[in-house]
Amino acid sequence: MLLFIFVFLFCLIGFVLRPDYHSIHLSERLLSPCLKHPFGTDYLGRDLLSRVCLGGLLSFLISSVSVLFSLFIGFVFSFFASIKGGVIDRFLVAIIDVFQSFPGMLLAIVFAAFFKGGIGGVLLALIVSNWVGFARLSRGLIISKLNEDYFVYSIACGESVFKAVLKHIVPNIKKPLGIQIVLSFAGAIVTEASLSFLGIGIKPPLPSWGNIIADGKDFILVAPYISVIPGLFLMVSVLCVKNFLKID
Amino acid sequence: MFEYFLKRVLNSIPTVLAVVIVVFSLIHIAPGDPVDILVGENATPVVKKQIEREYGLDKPIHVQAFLFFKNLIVNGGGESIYFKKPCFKVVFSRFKNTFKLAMFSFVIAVFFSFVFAFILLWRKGGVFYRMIVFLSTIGMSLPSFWLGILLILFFSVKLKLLPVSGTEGFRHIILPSLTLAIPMGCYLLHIIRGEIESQMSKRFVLSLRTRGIKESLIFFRHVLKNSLVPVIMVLALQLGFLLTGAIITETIFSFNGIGLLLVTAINVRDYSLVQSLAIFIAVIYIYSNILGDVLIAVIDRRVSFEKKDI
Repeated sequence: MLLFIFVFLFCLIGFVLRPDYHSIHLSERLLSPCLKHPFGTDYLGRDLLSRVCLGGLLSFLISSVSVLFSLFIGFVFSFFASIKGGVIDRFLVAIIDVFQSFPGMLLAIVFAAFFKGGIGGVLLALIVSNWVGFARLSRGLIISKLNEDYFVYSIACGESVFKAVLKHIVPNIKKPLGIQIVLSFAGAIVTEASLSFLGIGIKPPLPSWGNIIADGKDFILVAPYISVIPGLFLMVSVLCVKNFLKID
Repeated sequence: MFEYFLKRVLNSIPTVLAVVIVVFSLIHIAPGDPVDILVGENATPVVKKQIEREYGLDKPIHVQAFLFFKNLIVNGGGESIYFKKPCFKVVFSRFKNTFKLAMFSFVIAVFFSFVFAFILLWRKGGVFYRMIVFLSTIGMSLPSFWLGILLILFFSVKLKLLPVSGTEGFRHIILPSLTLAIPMGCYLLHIIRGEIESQMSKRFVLSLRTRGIKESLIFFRHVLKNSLVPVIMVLALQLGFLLTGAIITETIFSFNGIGLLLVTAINVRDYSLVQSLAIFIAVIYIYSNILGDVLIAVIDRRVSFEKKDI
């Protein structure tokens, strides 16, 4: 947890101090890490420190926004399905089944490809591949709580179903949903990087850990640090995010 | 048993149809004119007209969906613009390589995860135990494209042992399969270890012990068998993932499988090939999951009698 905050602050401060991620200095191409460029420079002489930092910020931003949207969509969807039941519920289950029969990564890649990448495309791809998990989980959770005494009692007391679910069921399913949020967030960071690595994610000149690694791949013989550093950041942040789960 | 298998396969048919519909509708949801997406904006009007007729894009949408189905079954997914061959022919010719890669990394991952799991059980507690657990936690979160690059750096650049890219021989398959196998093996190790440990603490083990049955017999005949069920479930999911999710790994190593094909198809904007690939991959994924479920039913008889519930 602390380490993740540290990574985040590092990216934030690094970017604030070195906002110049795109100016090209051809005379300073492929410099190894030195005092002026602590992380070195890439094949166009751009400073890698500021690129890695901005890439990290973008990655965290996109991932968290996509997780929020997926949570919202999944929850609203499953909310109505589980309350109404019947045809609506079966329809939802069918949709979940269909979306689950694609591996998440494939779904994200295909959507990002059809929507030509960019930040919007990545967001959409992440939401499309993530919302199913939330919908499935929250549907199961809500249904399992519908027969609980406290819920039946509050309905009997004349509370509307809508309110009763929000007031009594939601607090009870917060924990498993929280776990799903954390896992999706970690997954979204990796998926975003993968999409950018394949060139259908965040578009240059905007940096992303994925596209910095992809750029560095071509210079792996002369400048391995280009790929290694953002990868290290990626791994550490994913590891930290997953470690949130161990705390509670 | 056979009944269960049949039921699962029959149940999957609507899902497969729905997958086809989702993939079909992609081209209509995506921004821009479908014809432009299929042949590119710079194509001549004649070509555009031809594509429009071939895919029935001038007809109402349900007719188009029907044509899309027909195209899939009769024409093998339609002609790939880039390869000038029916899409499925291209896909099948590449799938061989992906299958080899998947099997190879599957075997590596399963073998090493079981070996390490046994070692961990044998040496419970202690520095070694904690080190392996810690390393496998890291291994699980290694993003494949970065791991691939690290492996290239180490084995190809520093040690000059293995080739960086290509598909030809046995030597070319080692690095990509390691890239796939390491995170998967670490994940498996976690599952296996957790499962065996939780089984070991169950009552039936105690009762077997009190009856004086040999520890090795308890372990191999009872504990291992019980803990295999969740492991196989994960394995089936992972196999589907391997067959499909090698997309990034294949790209790094220029390994000529369907993952690389998908990326190529996206880069050259050959969208009918992308669609065929998406359907192909999803279908494989669905059926490898069913295969896993059936395998579990074979091992654990209780499963086939339970109602399937989400």
